[in-house]
Amino acid sequence: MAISIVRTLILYVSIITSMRIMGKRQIGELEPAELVVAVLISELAAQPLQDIGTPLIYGLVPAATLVICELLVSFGIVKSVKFRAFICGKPSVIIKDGQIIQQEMKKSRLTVDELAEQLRKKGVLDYSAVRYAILETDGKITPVLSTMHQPVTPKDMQLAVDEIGYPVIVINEGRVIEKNLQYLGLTPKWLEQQLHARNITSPEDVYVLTVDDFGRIYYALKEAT
Amino acid sequence: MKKELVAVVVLVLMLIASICNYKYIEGITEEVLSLVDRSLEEGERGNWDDARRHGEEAAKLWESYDGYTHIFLRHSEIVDADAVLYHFIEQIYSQNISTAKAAREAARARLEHLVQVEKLRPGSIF
Repeated sequence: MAISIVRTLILYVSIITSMRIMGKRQIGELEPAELVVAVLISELAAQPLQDIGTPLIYGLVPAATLVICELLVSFGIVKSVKFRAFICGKPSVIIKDGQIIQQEMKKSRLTVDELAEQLRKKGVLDYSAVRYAILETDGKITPVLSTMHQPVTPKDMQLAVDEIGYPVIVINEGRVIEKNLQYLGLTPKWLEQQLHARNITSPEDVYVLTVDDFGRIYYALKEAT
Repeated sequence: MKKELVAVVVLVLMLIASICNYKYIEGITEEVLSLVDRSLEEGERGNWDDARRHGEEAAKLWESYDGYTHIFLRHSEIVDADAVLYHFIEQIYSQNISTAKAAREAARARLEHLVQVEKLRPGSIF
């Protein structure tokens, strides 16, 4: 029993480390090669976990080899366009000027139902409004609406609007993130003054506080428990 | 680039380690089997005390590599190897040379198989 626990802990740490080395991505964002590696690693880990008669090294060595392969393939993908096309495939245009390119649909083994589903998810119901729909290498479809169907922007309306600033979390569940304060070029003293101006006695009372590039502050106080 | 270089170095080190592992297990099995052979030779000469001594030495030597074998070999393979070695010693104890010869062949086949599966060759890979 204890052996199983220790072996599980070792494999868990190893697999998490492997995944971190490969880079953080969600399952839905994985390229085909990355998905293969992720599935293989989980399979490799499962075998020594279920059978304590199998040395851990039988799971760890192949997993390490796969991580190395993945690192080298990622390097090749970044360095060579041809290699990237070979490993990840190329995006393909499946709708052009409102017309479904059936040849491309067949080639990509994409059904009309799948196309309709993915377009619905993007809020597109009218195929004729689509200027281009591109099937990406991760299997997702990116529709680009024709100019007439694009939402109106402030630029179209010639309106002056405030620019969006990137909000950086400065207080996270009562904890001041000093690193982020430094990143913004702000000081704890400044933060203290801002809290005081909002009648907040301590950062511990704040659930979240963000400051954007323009110094705009958003905050939410902790709810009373 | 640094990360990729480290990856290549680790891969090369793993390959070198696998070759070292093959050589190491080959050395262990050769050592054990030479004691088994000596035990049988003594048995053939009728020196059953020496035959027993060498047979037990072979089993003890195999067990002394326990730390290594349990990390690098499947436990079922270790159990099989233990079984064939003790079966050989059993035949030596019973002073039956013909069954001892058969048991030696079984031990040789079993231990050599452990080496063969580690050897980099098409048969092991596929």
